[in-house]
Amino acid sequence: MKWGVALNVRDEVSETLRKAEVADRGAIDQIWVTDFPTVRYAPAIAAAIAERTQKCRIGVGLISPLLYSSTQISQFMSTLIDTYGDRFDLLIGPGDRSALARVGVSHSIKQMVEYTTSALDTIKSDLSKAGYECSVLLGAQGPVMIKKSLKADGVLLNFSDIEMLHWALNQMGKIPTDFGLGVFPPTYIGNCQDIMDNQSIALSAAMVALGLNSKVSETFGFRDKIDTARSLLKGKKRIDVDIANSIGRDVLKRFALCMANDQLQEYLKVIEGMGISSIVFGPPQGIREKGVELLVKAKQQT
Amino acid sequence: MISSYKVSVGITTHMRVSATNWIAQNADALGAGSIWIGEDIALGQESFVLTARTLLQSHQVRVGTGIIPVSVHNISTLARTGVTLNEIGQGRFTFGLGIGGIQDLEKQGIHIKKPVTELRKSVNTLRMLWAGETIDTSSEMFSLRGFSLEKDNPIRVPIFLGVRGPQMLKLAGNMADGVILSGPFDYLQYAIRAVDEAAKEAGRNKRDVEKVVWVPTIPTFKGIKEKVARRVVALVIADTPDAVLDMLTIDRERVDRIRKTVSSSSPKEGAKFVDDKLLDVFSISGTKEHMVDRFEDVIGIGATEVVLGPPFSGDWRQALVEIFHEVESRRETT
Repeated sequence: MKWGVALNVRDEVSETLRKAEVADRGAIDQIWVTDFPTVRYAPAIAAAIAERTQKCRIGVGLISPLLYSSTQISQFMSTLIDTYGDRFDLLIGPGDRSALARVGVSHSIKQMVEYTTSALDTIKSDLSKAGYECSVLLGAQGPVMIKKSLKADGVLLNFSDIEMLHWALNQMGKIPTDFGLGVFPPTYIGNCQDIMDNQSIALSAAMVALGLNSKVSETFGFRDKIDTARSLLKGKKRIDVDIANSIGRDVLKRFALCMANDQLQEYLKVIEGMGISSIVFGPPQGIREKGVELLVKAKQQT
Repeated sequence: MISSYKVSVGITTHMRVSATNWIAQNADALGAGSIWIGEDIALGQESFVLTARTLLQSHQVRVGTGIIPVSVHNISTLARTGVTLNEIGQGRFTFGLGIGGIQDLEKQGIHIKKPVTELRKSVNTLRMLWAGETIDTSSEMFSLRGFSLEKDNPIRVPIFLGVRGPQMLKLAGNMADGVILSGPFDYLQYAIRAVDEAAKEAGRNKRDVEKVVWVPTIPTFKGIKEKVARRVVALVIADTPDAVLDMLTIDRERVDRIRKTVSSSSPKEGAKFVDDKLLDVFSISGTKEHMVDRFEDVIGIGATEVVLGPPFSGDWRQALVEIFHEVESRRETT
């Protein structure tokens, strides 16, 4: 199982670099540099991380093709590889719809999916024609994107629940042998026992849950709870504890990993058995340096 | 006597990684004031990654974009990139912005009705976001609703404008920290005066607006053949608007023939009509002594910084070393 950690969430560049060095020294396989709606521009941070680390791979994304042109995305990936070598992978996906709307990018969900999949084809083709060794992954959660991900080099699924992962794999049908299956949920590993006791992970899980396709939430029986939370969000504009509480512990747990090391080892065994070969520990794990250290410790115990 | 001025190096996204790396790694030792990074839209290296790397590989030199068209990026991306590069460079980053070349924009299907208004709005919006404000605004090119950078500490990123026409020059004098100018000597003289007057009208000191002059510099004394210089000048002439050409005392018939030939055939063919006078009007080329003389002419009309390169050809590394040495030796003499 390959371990990755998501950085560049809210930090100043110097803090992200410090954490990247901790992760690199601690043999974390890949650092993922998140992009919008976080403040800092991921490709530039990826360059800085490449200057300061030795062994880890560096993932850029999630990058939204609704915010950047396919040409610019191909161009920053090729520039990174030309400068620092074959250390980079790309994760694309439509991105957070409400955050995009705040910066003037408003499309229907259908358009967002179409735009993203078309960009996927263009970027993959541009990079491969130019001979770049760079995996282009798709971030997916709903059935359409999950199916479309087969056109990518791999998928990172945005939830953690075993039943939901089984469902996602069923949606994909026959999966090519060289296809990269991974998960990228909100996480806090180390000293997290109850998701409702850790506000950061509860809010991160709520954010993912609120972005879930209605059909999927219907399938798993939590559509009512998510619809209620969405109504609350319309009034409040930002996700807070009340919204997380309205979704409730049982639902939030399905989107996030909040557990001790030994539970994590068990979880990894199960998903490895399902053919999943990588996990990216999403926020809030990488928000504090302590979180990255806890992750390194967990990796050393595997 | 010539006042102290900066000599800088200009690079473009279309250059090789090995060349841009060398410049980033050697700029401090050369004594360069800045490295300016020109964007060849959609060609070569990605501007912001190249800028980040240039900042990471240098220690003292100012690094600026020269210029990024605000019209081809989401304004939120520009604001976020400003924060990122400012932190990477620990205050050495300068954001050079412009509206973008009309022909380049048209190729991308972008039509802007009021470019001066749009550029002004973009600059104001970026400054408000960097100051920590939450913005609700819209324009021809962008729309922000309740958007902020969610930063605790306000930052100040210098903004330089790459501009040409009279209204844009006025805008730069009114509000920019600096201006990046390009064109023949007579035009530069006019442009610097226009920027200074606009600064004064806005209640600013003309020294508040730095004037960076970036014209083709072609050191023919180190292996760049003169025919390369003439080819570059033919291209520049073809791209120069009539309004600028009208300001110059030049052989207009010859210029029109060059423009026609470049358009119908190639810059190489057009180069055959570029004589020594035109070479001198549209570029700074020749020996290092002659080039530094020309820098001093430009500083004499009010510029505060001149930019060397591109094109980089022949033994350009050694040419840069010798030109910077020539500038330094004259400083020591005065």
